[in-house]
Amino acid sequence: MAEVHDWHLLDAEAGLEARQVTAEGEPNRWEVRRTGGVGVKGLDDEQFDGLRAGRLAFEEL
Amino acid sequence: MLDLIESPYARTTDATYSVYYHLKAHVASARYGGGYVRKPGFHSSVEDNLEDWPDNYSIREAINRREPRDVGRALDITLSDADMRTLTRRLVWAVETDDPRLEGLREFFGTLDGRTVYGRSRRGPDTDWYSSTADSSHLWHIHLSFFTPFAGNWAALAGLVSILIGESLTDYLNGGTMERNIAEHGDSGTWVKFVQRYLQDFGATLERDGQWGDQTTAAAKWVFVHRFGGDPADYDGRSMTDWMLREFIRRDQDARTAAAIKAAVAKLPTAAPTQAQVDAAVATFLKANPIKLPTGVSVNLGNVTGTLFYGG
Repeated sequence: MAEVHDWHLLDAEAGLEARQVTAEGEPNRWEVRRTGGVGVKGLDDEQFDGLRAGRLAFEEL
Repeated sequence: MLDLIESPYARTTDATYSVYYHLKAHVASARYGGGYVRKPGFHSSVEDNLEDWPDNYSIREAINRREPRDVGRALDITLSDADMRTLTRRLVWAVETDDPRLEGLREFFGTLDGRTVYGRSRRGPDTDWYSSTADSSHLWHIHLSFFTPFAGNWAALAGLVSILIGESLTDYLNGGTMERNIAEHGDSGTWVKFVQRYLQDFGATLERDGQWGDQTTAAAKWVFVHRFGGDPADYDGRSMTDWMLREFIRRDQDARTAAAIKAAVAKLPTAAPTQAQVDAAVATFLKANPIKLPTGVSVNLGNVTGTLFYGG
């Protein structure tokens, strides 16, 4: 069963929110969506870090 | 001081937004993760909390019910994994060194290892820090809460930017373009306490209570005359400029360096080594690092003059 956290603003200027949805004993998983709730994408740690570091754009995921 | 930038976000003060704006110029991964947000705690205003969450910790202490009461008092900055660790470490170091640039900071959350949320909080600008923690979103964004009166105080929050971008306190003090008072008679708070620590270190007798009264004035004047060799007529002891504070820090660092050298010298042997000790050391070295002499190689020395010794 994944531990689902609340959505939290990731980038106000890009209009993105994120939350952690990691299942017990599994590698981290994250969900990112447009502010307002559309286009949810599941990410692993590397993708999530890439998004925050600017190596990946939300549209590329 | 860095420029104050107009906030594009309602109820997020210019000072709070400016922290993000100037950090972004130095840390490429920094994203604006939110200032004012209507939810319980420091992200919302004093009025919001009083109205909807009157028991919330963000309005418990008297200082956090003061003005401005209609703005958010926190800032979230999203960062890459590497920058999360770096910036959290800088905040931790500032706490551990009692850095006065933390003056307006109520609490922060981040991570030192990317796996565990790390946080420190305090109930007043001059009270001790204690450990605290928060949810896992603080693995990817740093949260900063400000004591309410500091939410719009750019002079104080600019010091926080200085810490986050990795400036030393001396660099920060050098950043001013004109001499300014760091603290003066009648002031209280973090900077006064910081100055008092140096006055104590330089031998003045005073209580480190964070209040600049007559005792601190007398101590500052005593240090100026007896430690700096100043003329009593030149300084009344009622204020501390950034120049003087830099001089305190420089002399303190010089004294610490001198003490470290003195301690190292004291550990050296007092007498020169004997020939037997040198021979033993050389023998030990040669045993560990044997010299391989070439065989079957002729060496043409040309014409050599001088005296040949046989060393035995």
